Amino acid sequence: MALGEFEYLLISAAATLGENAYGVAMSEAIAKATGRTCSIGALYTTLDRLEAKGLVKTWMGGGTPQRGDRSKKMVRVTPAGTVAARSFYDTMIRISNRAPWAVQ
Amino acid sequence: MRNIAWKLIEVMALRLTPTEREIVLGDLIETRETALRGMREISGLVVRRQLQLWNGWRAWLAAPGLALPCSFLLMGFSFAISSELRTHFAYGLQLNLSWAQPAEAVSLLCQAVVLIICAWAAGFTVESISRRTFVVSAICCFLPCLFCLLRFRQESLPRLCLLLFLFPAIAGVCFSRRGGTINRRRAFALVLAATICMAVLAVRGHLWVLNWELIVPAWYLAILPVRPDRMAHLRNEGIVS
Repeated sequence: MALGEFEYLLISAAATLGENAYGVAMSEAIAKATGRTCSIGALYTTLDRLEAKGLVKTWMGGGTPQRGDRSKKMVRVTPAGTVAARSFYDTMIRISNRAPWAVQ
Repeated sequence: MRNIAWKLIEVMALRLTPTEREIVLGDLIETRETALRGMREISGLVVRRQLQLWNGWRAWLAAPGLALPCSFLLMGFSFAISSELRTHFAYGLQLNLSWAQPAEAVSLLCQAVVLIICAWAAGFTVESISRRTFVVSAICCFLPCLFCLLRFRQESLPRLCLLLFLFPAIAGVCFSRRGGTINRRRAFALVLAATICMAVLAVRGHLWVLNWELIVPAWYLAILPVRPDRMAHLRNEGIVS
């Protein structure tokens, strides 16, 4: 299944964070990697789309005092999500391997 | 100041589902966002969610498909009924002609039945098929009202007579909001009554062909599959507790 760039970023962030993947942590990971802030609107609407495609699974996690005991949206990448992300990654590597910035 | 800003954020978040509201407000607390940025984040998500609703057919059917035309057509019925009532009760009583012509009384009765059933069904249907775009549907209903109220030139009738249909329509909306359902037998009885009355009006030449659209919401109610998960869905959406 074809992924967009932001979808790939979300899946990669969730996969990297593992058990600790939830909204704020993923948003911070993406901001750190890309240098761009990730809005809540973009994050949650894209997560919904990924879940509808069966690429991630989400559920409500428990709250913590730092967030006023409000629940989190936990995220886990499904096997289909892993396949889609790998396919995106391989495509990027293949298309880039002779590009000047990759050859340097 | 921060408390006021936070209250504003919470008010804006009311447009989200309870689950999403809980998550997003938690995120804002955790990231210690400034009030301005918090409002921007929430409004961004609300706008995205609202736009998503317009990707499906439901919002389009409810607002421009039903609310707008039904509002125009039902105003016509409201006006016709008001005129007839005025004729019967004002002039009829003076001239001792009240209900002297049974045919007219039957027409008036049929118009009243159509108005009540169709307006109620339209309110119920518009609210239930696209609950989260209801504000836009309401605007689509009120714009024709405003247009007609401003152009109303009948001195013998009050302008507000055009809005008679709003009473049953609002009752239908409230019924749907409370999670009400109507069993199929009653829905069929209602739709049959409305259809017969419309047919009578059509035979007597009192019905414009486009008025048949008014029967669509009533038939929708009759053939609507009864969803046992409706209450669970409404609870999840935060509509009923």
